[in-house]
Amino acid sequence: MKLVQIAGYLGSGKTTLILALVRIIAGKGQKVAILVNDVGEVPVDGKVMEEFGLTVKDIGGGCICCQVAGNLRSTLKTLAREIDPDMVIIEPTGMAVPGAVKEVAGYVRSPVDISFGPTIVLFDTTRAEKLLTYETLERLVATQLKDADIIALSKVDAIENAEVDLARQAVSKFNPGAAIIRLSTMSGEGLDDLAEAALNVTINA
Amino acid sequence: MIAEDNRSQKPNVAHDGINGYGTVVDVNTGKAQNIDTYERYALELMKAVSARCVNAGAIDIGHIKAYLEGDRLFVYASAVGDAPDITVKSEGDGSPMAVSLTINSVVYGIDKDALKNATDDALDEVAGVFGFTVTKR
Repeated sequence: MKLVQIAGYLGSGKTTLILALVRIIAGKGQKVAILVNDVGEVPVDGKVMEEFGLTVKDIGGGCICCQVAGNLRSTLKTLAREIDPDMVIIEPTGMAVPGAVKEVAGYVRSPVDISFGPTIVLFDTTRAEKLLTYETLERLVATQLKDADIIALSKVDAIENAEVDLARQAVSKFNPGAAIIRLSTMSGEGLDDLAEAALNVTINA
Repeated sequence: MIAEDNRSQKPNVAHDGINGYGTVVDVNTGKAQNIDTYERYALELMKAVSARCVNAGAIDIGHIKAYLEGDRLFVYASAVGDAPDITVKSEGDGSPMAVSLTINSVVYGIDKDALKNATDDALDEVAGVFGFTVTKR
């Protein structure tokens, strides 16, 4: 069971990306399940994904990188037992630290055979200045970017290319080793690249 | 150390300044309403919650998400940023006179009480504009 994490700050487009990505990956014969974590007391994303016909497990009541970390492991075991998917796409809350989520998932042991795909972190290019200006917000966003294997510059259809380039320069400072791609779920730009990465890239735990 | 069971643990310090609030309400419209009305209602609700959060001092609207569910009707709405960027999508062809509404607000820069008040007050305000009644579960 391969785990692919799609992380990123609130409103960066994670749910929309997953809805698009699952169709591509499932179209290649993969059995995909989604694990969604909402930070508010009542989950919304999981319900919306189910309405679009996806197989979803919801974790509410806190963030899976810290407050309800134990739930992540038990839910992964349940997914393995009940659905046995080839791939689980994990959508943590927009305030989650991706490295912590991966660490928690890494504690899942036998009988579940887990491998890790890339950690994809979305960065909302339309809000680049705000996300990297406010001290505590910048600290969270920077931490998320540092944990990425792939940084997806989202909503590139909504701004000028020069602004996208500035965002690319800004995020690359936080994680020079990460692959950076342009993403627009509106136009489809970057979707095939991310699907290929999810399918074919394996990362050491 | 990560607990072996499902007990809640302390939030990561990286979450400082971000608060979430969610609630579920029953919306009674008094008569059958079509999907266009429910879409407008969801749109105005997103605007109202965002505006109230900004007025309360929010630095960034992380997201406000909601869905309405009724007989053969599903409407999903989200708002991001303090401009805000609002999306409303729907499915179905029903015209129910009552729906359930689930809303989840996550905002940076205001405390949880202020976020709760902003969300709850916006629910009352927009229901009033449309002549609807909202009842918390």
